[in-house]
Amino acid sequence: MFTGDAGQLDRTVRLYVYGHFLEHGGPPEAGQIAEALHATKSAVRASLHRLASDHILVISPESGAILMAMPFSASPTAFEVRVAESSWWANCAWDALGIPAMLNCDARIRASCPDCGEELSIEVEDGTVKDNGEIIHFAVPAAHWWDDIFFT
Amino acid sequence: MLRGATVTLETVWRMAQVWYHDRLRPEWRRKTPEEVGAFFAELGLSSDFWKLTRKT
Repeated sequence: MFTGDAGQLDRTVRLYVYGHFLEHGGPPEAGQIAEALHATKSAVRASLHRLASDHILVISPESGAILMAMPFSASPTAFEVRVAESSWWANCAWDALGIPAMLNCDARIRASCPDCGEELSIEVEDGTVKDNGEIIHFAVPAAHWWDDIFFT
Repeated sequence: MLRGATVTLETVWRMAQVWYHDRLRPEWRRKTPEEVGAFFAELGLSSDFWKLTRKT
């Protein structure tokens, strides 16, 4: 049984969630986390709520399911990031570049322009992004990013 | 409310590197608003659009 305090559990849960995204492309369920960490499901649910409250994860207010572990998205978005044979969905352009930044690796990003719908391709190679003159638009001021993180 | 801001791809790449490079480390912690403000300023993102009033 997990014997650490809440802070230790939160750190362990956070790392497990990221590891699960990396290995499986999506988030684990609370039951999976509990089993893997030898913690109770209620303790894991409480941990997920604390992590969400601290803006470290985004969970569904209804089901408690993990929706985002930034830069990863649990559901398909306009930003698909491919690294070797793996791929993930990112929440936005910043997060799409966040995946190769986090993994320190090359990546190919396929994105849809939210303005015209045109498909864009962005490549990261050897620690640099191939700048093809693209401009990224941030619609929401920083102070309001978490007012509605899905819109942001 | 402001209408938004545009930044170059290179700037967003730099933002991504600073924001996410250490996310998988066990000792990772959220940046403080002061740290985020300094980071934005270093990238030239100093307009009101990038100012924080709460945790981000």
